[in-house]
Amino acid sequence: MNLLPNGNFRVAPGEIVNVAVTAQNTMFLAIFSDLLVADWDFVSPPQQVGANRVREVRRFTAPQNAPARESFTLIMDFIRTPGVPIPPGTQYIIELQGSIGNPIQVPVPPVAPFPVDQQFIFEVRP
Amino acid sequence: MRLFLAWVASMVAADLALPQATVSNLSQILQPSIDDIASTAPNTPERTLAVTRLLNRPGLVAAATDTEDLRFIVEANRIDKQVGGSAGASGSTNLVSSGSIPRLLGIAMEHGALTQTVSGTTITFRTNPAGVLQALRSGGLVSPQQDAATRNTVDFLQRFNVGLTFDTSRENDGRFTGSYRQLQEASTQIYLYNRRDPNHQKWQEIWNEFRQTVSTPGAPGSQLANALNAFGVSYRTAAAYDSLRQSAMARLTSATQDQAEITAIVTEYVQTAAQFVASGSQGRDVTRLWAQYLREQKVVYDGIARSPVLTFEYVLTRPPVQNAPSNATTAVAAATLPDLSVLRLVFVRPFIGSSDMTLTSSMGIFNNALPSMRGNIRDWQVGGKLDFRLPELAGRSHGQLTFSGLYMNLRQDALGVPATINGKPAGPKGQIGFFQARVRFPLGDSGFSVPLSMTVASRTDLIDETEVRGNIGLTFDLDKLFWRTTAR
Repeated sequence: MNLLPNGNFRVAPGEIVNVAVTAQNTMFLAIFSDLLVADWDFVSPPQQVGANRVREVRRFTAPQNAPARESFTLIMDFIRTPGVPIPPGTQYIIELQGSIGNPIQVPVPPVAPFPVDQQFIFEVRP
Repeated sequence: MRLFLAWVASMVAADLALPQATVSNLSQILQPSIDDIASTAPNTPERTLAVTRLLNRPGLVAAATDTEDLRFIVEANRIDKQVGGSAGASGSTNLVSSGSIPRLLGIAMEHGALTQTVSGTTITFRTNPAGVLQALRSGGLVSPQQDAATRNTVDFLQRFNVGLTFDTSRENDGRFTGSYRQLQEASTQIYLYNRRDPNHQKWQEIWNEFRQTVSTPGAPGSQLANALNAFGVSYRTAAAYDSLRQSAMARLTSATQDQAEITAIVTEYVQTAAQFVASGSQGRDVTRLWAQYLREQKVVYDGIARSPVLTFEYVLTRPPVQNAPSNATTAVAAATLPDLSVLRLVFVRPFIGSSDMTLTSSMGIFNNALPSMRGNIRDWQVGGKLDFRLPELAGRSHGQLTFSGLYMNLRQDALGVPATINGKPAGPKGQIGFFQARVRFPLGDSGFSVPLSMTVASRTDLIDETEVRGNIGLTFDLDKLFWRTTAR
């Protein structure tokens, strides 16, 4: 899996992609959309993975046919305290790891309006 | 004071007279992303990350369809305060203190008499040490620390609030100078029990339940995520999108930190991308589901905001100056009038339905006792208040109806020594009862509201008989005014 100039990700047919979203210094309020084409192969419930860190992991398999396209969107919310700015270091971290290539990390700070949405499109190419 | 009023009037006139100058909902939606980009230097990895985040947010493109739901989305993304002097300040229309605390420096200007006949104009400033610390961090003056000790300190500081009230009538020309002479009251507020912080550990289960509920298939959260995904694919797979995105990426990555330059590029990008969507209703579906999700979330926030609060207040009140304007002449003994310290407990909790109940008890203690006084204790008081939220007016903000009652046992003269105001005894000892009915009408989303109140008192300092008096005030919420003009 690698990043294309148009912001999409290139994956090989049948490539397995692991997606992890970690809430750091905020309550876990991340919601995955359904995949555009397939179903999620694996879904783990949110789990505490450290002090003030909660993570959910999912996995999908890219379509076997190419060219094809897969996509999902994450919405991530931040609990706000009236009158108090969100503390520094509060963010979500999205990690994408394909069978091929290096992992890609996407930090998502609390930039309104909430919830913050991030879409990931995968282009299946041989 | 006149200059301040003129400035406020000009801001209001500019907002009302020139509709095209009003910041659109879309601008307010985009502003935080624009700030995020502008906060980074051009052609840096941080800039690239910020730009990529913006380009990967289909919600911002959906907002360019500019539906009525945007207004609610904007409002829901802004997150209670008492703007007004304490009950003892001259010209106050708030009879019983609430336990809530304002966010930023709030400026309240009220005119009218409550229990005294001395007319005055009060300006109240309230601040929170934790908020000041955060502001210093934002300005780079204090390094952000995320260790447990710092977080604990910030959590502790958030329990405190400090307020200062100035009475401009203490200067002969009525001009606000902020001098010690004009200082009428200094106060501090400490939360003894407060779980109204939505981030408090107590509410973790509530938020977990919220997430589970809205993320089930068919629920608002899932529907929103799916709608965003479909919407994003719709315009990102258009033939002309790749070149639009690459152009926006290049221009934003290399743009200076000038807000206007970045705003122009971002606005052009979202509006152009929105035109690539095959169906015009897709964007509106996204904003409709977005608003639906936020309404579900608001129910949780509202429930947390109404949990009980117990607050301790300390208020230092300085006596009226002896050479006040002629309409407030005071004849007192040659001795200096003592300052008054008021210790107050305030308990707030839900009452019936959406109403809130506030109970207060307080004791006034003179800081020093003059030989003619009966010790230091001046009075004790108990009071209660019921707040009822009124329905929305013309689809805008809610008004509020408040009933207040207060009983005071004044054990000695209110000023500590016998005094007269306009020839009448001022605050002789005795028992005093008050009842007040107050209704507040918001003026749309402008940040202005008009309180009207009626007070029945068993006595005042100047009139021997029972008196009924009405008051009208004007309250400015600068937080809302600044938000409207700066699109934050």
